[in-house]
Amino acid sequence: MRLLIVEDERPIAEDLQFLVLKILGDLVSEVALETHLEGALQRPDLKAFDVVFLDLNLHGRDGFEVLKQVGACAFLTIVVSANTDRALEAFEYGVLDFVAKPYSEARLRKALDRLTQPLHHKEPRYLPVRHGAGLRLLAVDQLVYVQGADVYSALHLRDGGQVDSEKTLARLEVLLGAAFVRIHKSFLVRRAEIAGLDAAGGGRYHALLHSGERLPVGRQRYKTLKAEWGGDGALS
Amino acid sequence: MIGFWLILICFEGGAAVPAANSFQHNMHGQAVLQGWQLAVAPAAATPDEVPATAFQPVDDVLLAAQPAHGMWWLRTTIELDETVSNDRILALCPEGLASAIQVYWDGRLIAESGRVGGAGEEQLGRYYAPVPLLPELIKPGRHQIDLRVSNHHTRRFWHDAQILFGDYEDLLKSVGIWQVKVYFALGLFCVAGVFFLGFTTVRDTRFEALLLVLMCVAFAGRLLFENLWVFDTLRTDYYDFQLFWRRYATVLTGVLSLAALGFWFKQRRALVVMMGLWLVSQYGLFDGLTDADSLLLCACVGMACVAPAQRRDALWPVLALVLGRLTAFADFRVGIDLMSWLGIWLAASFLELNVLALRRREQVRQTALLRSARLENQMLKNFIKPHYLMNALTSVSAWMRREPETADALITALAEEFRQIAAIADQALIPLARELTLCRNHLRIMSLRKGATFDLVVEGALIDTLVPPLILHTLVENGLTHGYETRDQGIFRFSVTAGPSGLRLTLFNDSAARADAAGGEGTGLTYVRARLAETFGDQAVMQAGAVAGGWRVVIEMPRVPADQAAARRGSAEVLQEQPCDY
Repeated sequence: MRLLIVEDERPIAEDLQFLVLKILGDLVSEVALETHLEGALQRPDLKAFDVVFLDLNLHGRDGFEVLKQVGACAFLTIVVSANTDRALEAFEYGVLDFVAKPYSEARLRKALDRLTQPLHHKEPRYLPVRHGAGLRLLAVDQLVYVQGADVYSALHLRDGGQVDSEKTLARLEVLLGAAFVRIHKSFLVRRAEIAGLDAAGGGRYHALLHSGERLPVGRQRYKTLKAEWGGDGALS
Repeated sequence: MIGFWLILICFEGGAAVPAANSFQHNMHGQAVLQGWQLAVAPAAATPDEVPATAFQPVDDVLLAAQPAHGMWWLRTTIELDETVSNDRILALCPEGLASAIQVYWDGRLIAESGRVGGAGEEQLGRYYAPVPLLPELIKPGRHQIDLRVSNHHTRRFWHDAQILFGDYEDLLKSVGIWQVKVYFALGLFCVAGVFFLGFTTVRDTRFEALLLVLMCVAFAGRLLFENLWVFDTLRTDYYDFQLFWRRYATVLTGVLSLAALGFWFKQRRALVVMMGLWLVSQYGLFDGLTDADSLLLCACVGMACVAPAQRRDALWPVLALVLGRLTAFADFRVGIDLMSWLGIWLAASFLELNVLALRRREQVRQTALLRSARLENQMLKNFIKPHYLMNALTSVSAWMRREPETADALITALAEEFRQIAAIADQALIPLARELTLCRNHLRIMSLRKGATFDLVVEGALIDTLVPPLILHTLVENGLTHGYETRDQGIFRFSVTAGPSGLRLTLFNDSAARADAAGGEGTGLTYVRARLAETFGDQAVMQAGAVAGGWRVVIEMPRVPADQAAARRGSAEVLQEQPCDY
């Protein structure tokens, strides 16, 4: 796992580095430090990072511009900031976690746990995505399912449209939380959109969406889903 | 003189007085007896002893130079018709005859005011001496009235004298009413004067209030000159004094009234115009106007010149003078001259203006206090904002894990900063040296937090002065926020020099702050500006901008040595010293 820490107070950045290494141990392959965001975003190896720890001053006028900017990136963002008064809003923009300063080792551990074991948290309201040369805030409630395509994901919307996200399916699964379910190694679907499951011949399974679309379901995942949906394949 | 007013009262605007002294039943009020004859007969002890040939019409005698001391006989006759009943007490009332008089009715002595006699035995009588006539004296027909006058006390025996005849009660009452009016008017001037005397303690309008006090004194004095008889005296000194000063008193009241108006409204040109007009009117170039009308005219002309911002205030004196003029048409004004009425109304309008000014000053003061409180609040809020505290605590905990000694130093510095700021929070001014200590301490905190080296260097000698709290601290904080994002070294240079008009404080830092940062002035600079304006008004100027190699802020402000701290304890008081613009 590769981590980037963006923090303008160097002693704190070093402390974060120290703690992250202590918590994750060998899981971490690289920790990089940056004193501010411009420098971080200009790094040629930016896409290589899994998680960015970001000290965000939301008091400034462009605090949410920064959130949009990092939200559209491939990595997951954990905000580490003293400005807790707007933490809830930060969550709406697709931040994985918001750690208040001063932080403790235990709190950092909890934030890092989210990377590996998605909690059943509420889905964010928006998902920033790149849109041409600029950024676009996608309303998450428009999202029906996500199709993973190696280094990016295709977001399928209610209106039939499709938008690409730099984030991988695995990261989106972490970010979108309990409202979405992974039905296949390449598909993440909103639970409420699944109308039923059906078993085609030859060990192939499909999920039937309310929109009429059929999406493939992985064999292992079919069992879990069936248990969840009940034996008759209808949504309970 | 009294008689004149009394007649106005009784005959309501001057019904024709019967030419001869003949009276009927329906006679009411008072009448001035006419047809007086005067005889110089010092030897005669009773009216009968005066030879009829000695009498001449009184006006002829008075026109000639009259001897000051001696004895005189005055005689006239009145005719009562059979309808004049004795159901009321009638009276004779000589006024203004000095020094002592005896009154004879049909040759019979009925009253004496003072004691008539030679130089040694004479005693001074009263100015106004109503003599009731016994009912048995009031009979239809012709009656002869004689007055024996002796004067060895005063320089003239005739002080606008006249002899009234009328209802006794009426004669007593109307003089009482008149006296009450005079004293009432006098009281109004005194009360207003005392108020204005109080207003002289208000710094801004000290001179104006003093003028108003003088105006009230002048009006009060003039009122007494115009109504000298209220003292019921026959002493010539008073009359000489009155004669000499009466004219000047009128001129002076006008001059002071107009000066008060001119200075109150800060209109020098209008003042010159008003004063010129008034003096011209007083010294005869336009005779047609009374004193009161001239004053009204001058004041109106002056107030018309007043600046538009003060027009509404200027309406008060104009309104007062017009009301004063209208008093001439009210019954109650009789007995007090119009100029005095104008003075009363004018004084009232100035009381109103003073109250208005006080109210505005109070508003200004309240606003200043509020602003001061807001600044203090802002300062504290800025300092104890969670962002600052939380970040500082994060640094402490970060250092604790790595270098407990550094964490310890940071805690000490933070504690020192909190202690210092809590101590100066409610002070309007603090010593410069203390402010610099705060800056150094803040730089130490930030050095530890950022893992950087920030220093403050004071160049040249330090001048002992007081400054508003946290202005340099705020500038240092500002400099750190905007110029050192990517740097781990910084130097702040401070110097203070004395100039002709005060001090010049320069704070330079070698930051990379961009020139365009000056465009949007942050809350930090706004705070500093507000503090400077609150404390020094227009006397402080701050300039901030990028210079070669860094960022520089220059503050020009007056020097406040520490020993003046007591005089400038509250910032609101400092504000109060600045003139309010009305």
